[in-house]
Amino acid sequence: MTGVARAVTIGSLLPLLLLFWWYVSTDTTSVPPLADTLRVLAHPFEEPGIDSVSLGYSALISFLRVLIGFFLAAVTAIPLGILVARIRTVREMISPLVEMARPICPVALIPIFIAIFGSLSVGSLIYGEEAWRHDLIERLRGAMIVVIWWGAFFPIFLNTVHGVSHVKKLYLEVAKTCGAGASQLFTHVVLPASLPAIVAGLRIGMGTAWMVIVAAEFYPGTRAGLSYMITTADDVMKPEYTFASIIVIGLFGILINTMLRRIENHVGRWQAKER
Amino acid sequence: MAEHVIEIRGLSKTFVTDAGEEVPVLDGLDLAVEKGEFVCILGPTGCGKTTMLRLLTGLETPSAGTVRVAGRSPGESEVPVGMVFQQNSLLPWRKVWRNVTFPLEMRGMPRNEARAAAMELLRLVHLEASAESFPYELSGGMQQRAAIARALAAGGDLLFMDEPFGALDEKTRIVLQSTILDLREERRMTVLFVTHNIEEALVLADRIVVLGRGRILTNETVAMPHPRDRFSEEFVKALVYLRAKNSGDKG
Repeated sequence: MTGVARAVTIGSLLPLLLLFWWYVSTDTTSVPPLADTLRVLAHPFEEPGIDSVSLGYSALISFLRVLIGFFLAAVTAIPLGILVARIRTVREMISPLVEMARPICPVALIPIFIAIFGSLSVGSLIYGEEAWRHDLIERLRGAMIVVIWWGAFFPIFLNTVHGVSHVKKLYLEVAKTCGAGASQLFTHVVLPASLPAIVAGLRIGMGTAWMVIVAAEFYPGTRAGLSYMITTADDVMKPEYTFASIIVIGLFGILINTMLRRIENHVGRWQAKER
Repeated sequence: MAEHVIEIRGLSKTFVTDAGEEVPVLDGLDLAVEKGEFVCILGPTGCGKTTMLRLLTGLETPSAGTVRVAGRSPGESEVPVGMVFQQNSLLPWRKVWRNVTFPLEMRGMPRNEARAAAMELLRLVHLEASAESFPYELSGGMQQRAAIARALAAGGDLLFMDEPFGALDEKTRIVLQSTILDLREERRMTVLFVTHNIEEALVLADRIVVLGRGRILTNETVAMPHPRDRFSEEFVKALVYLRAKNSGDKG
């Protein structure tokens, strides 16, 4: 526990210093007073917020967009990565496409996705015409989710391919002498041996997803979300909302990264010596 | 006539390099091992001894000739064999006891039963205290003990060992040599043990087969009773004799 306490103490020194500087700075024309920003953070669901959407609700919308896009990325990238790593024909078929698509910044694709998916949303998928009655899921637009899927897909996919194709040959031979058949080799050797790499891919993919959502929500046509709040708050002269949103994005980042790192350390604990 | 657990006839293996060049590794080998025998395959690096073991355990297929292990052709079906690799062969994501249960799980033994069997085997190699450890927490010698326990779980009374103590320090090696001799005595096992260490072969083997350039150079019975004194006149004489044979081939 002392290790954690130490990490937290030392790790919060610089952020606290920054907050102090903010607190004592007198220029409030470009930067809102710290007190105002903290007030917004302390009451995240207070209405009217911006555009009658509260900070907490905006954060929830962004979070759900990320979560759904990330989930879709995981369930597509992991199986595809395994197939590419294991089956030569699939690899030869998929690799050129992946190499071509990978360098395209997901944000650059947003206009295309908006054009393709239009007003399609999770809400319209579930409730059809009645979607407008369900505000939260109606705001989870297809274009946003697909762009996150795009951003998170590649790190997860590439790490899965790497992990699965770099399983030590010795482990496979050991398992064969122990009488393992082809499917047992996969479930008892290939999967557990590549799990740490896959989870590392998930963590990187989650980081990418957050960066992508923040950029994506800046686009015209967005109606809610943390970045939408950042731009709109500035327009209506409520900069404390801009700063509060930025802080929330940072806090989410720390929280999710820490959580996934824990999982990563747990599934990879047997690699302790190699680390 | 005694029962042959291992029968090798006219066994040849040729590898083809990426450049398409054929490299013969084994060339018409004949060998039979009786039940309960401890045979050491001795030879310098690159003489084909590891390849021979890989053919016997089904990890390679012969280019010519036949191999029978316990009446079966290795590799023809998913029959587990007791194989101890040189080093770092424990599955690192499994605790020690779950490495030992691995071959038992593969054949569908219930978890509880497998665990009990594994603990018994770990006791046999004096490693029951480390059952709950991960492999990385173990020393090289302890890892090899665990690997032996796993091989016993897989192969029963027939054990293949590929330079299992080659990566260990002298002291640990000597301790493990006596462990394997005790085990062999206790369980009446048949052991095929590959090594390049002449002294090790002399300490362990009932019979020493010297391999060179893919052929059997010497196939001799070691008559000394166990435990063998490494400093006795008989032992040293045999050592000098084998050294001369071995280096004669290299020169």
